[in-house]
Amino acid sequence: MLVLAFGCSIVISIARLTAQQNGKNADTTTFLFYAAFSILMAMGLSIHHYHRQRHVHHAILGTMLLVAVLSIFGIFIILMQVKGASSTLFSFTINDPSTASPVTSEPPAAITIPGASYPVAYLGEENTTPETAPEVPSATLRMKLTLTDGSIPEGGTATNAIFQNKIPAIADRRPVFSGTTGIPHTLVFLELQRENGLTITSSIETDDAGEWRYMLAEDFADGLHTAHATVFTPDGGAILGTVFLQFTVGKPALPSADEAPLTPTESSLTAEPRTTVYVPRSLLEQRQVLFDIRAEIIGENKSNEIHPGDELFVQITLLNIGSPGYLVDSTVGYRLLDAAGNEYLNEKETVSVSTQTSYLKRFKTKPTMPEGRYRLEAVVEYADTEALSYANFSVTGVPVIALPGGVKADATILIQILTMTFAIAVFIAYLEHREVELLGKMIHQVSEEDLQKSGLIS
Amino acid sequence: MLNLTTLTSEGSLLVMHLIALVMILMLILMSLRIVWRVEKQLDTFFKLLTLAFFLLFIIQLMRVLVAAEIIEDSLAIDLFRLAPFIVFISALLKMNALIRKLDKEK
Repeated sequence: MLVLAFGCSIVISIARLTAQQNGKNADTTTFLFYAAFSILMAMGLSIHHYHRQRHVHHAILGTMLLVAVLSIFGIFIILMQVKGASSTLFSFTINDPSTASPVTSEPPAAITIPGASYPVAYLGEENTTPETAPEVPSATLRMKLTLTDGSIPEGGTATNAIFQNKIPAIADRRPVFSGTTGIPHTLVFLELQRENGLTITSSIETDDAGEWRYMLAEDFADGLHTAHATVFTPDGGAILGTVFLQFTVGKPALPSADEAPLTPTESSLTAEPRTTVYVPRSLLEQRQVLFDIRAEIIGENKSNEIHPGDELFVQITLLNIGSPGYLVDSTVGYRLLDAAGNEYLNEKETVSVSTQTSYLKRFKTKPTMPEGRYRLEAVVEYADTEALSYANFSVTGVPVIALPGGVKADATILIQILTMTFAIAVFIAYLEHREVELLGKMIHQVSEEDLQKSGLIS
Repeated sequence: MLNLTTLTSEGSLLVMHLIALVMILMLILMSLRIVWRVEKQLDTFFKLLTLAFFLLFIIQLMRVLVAAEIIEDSLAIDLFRLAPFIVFISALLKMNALIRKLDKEK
């Protein structure tokens, strides 16, 4: 048993140090368990064998000293490798112009709708006259609806020139919206309207190939839904076009032929002969879009990788599109989710926005967060609409903890410190007990009667 | 001048919890020194004190792990925080009984 205790202490300490030097993440829980086990084993053996074998004393003493020395050595190595991770503090900025809406550095931009004679909103100071509308390049905008199994239902595709030929009825509540604008890094403003329900909006930036993809984080409710994708130029200054898709989740709920007729500015969709389908206008078209939100992770590395326990800095940009120039209070919510949808953080705050507000938000992750891909969702709620933006990041590497001075260190340093402290305490206790036992009958065991005799108690 | 903002930062809080942990270990060691040198009811009293200190040590260890966010703070930990106080009360009752006995109180 003593050999086992010895073995545990030595092997674990050496394995721990080797893992540290190789930059690997040792299982701290296992380490803690075995370290505690070996020390407790040594303590138990110390009591059991005390009166029998003198050499056992030396063995236990050696074990304790070894654990303490190795722990100190481990702490020294970890301190030599102290890393700042991605914890560099960033200054708090307000009204920092973003690429999507250069309201402070360039003349105010207008959001217009093709065919409309007036702009629906201005991105700039109130009552400012917009410059001449920029020339809108021609583009074919495509949008498609893909189910979880990868299939595209009939009627699940549309472009800004060719509308869908049928409203698909799907049972899948998590379909994926994707599309192409043909132009890289354009801004796609997606509106998911539910008939007589909440509208969710989100803005997505197309990739280098001009493609975009979006999946709602929650299930679609039963009923008829309309997805509007309005594509802006990369600087957000002009609209390239709009494409929409309608679909029914659950049982088909096609509207009757008597429902609202199309207006001249509305697009129509004919599913069956002599059947008129009402397509709700987009919020942009109705000038009901009050806010847009964008979340962008800021860090030292561009791959958005952080260590477990590290801090996540996210730049949140809020755009008051609906009533620029007026100070409006909005409720902004933040959620941190893993790939399986498990929630790690959920908080809300109120932010006042006049035209545009940009601020840095700090989120603390836990050292126990498993490695993997995570998503930070930022939602701004107003009336029956939610504007949603999200940023993806990875949690990888060794867990870190915060030390004074804003320094981050490997979390296992804490285990080392605790092990060393405990080992030293046990060692001191052992020496003390040994002294008492060696003195044996030479010392008098004090009892309550002695206290009385010595006058301490009357 | 004392900077409260620095003291309440995550790293400083962890260090303060570690210092408290070391102090509790010192309490255990000092009470063990006495336990090994007394007998009868005094021994029982100091053993109870040592047990209470040991429970405090476990609670402080949990506080350290919670501060480092390795484990979550939970209701079970809060309930366990009551345990040392129960043992403290038992120890004081023992000493009270001993004093009354030595004083030959009825």
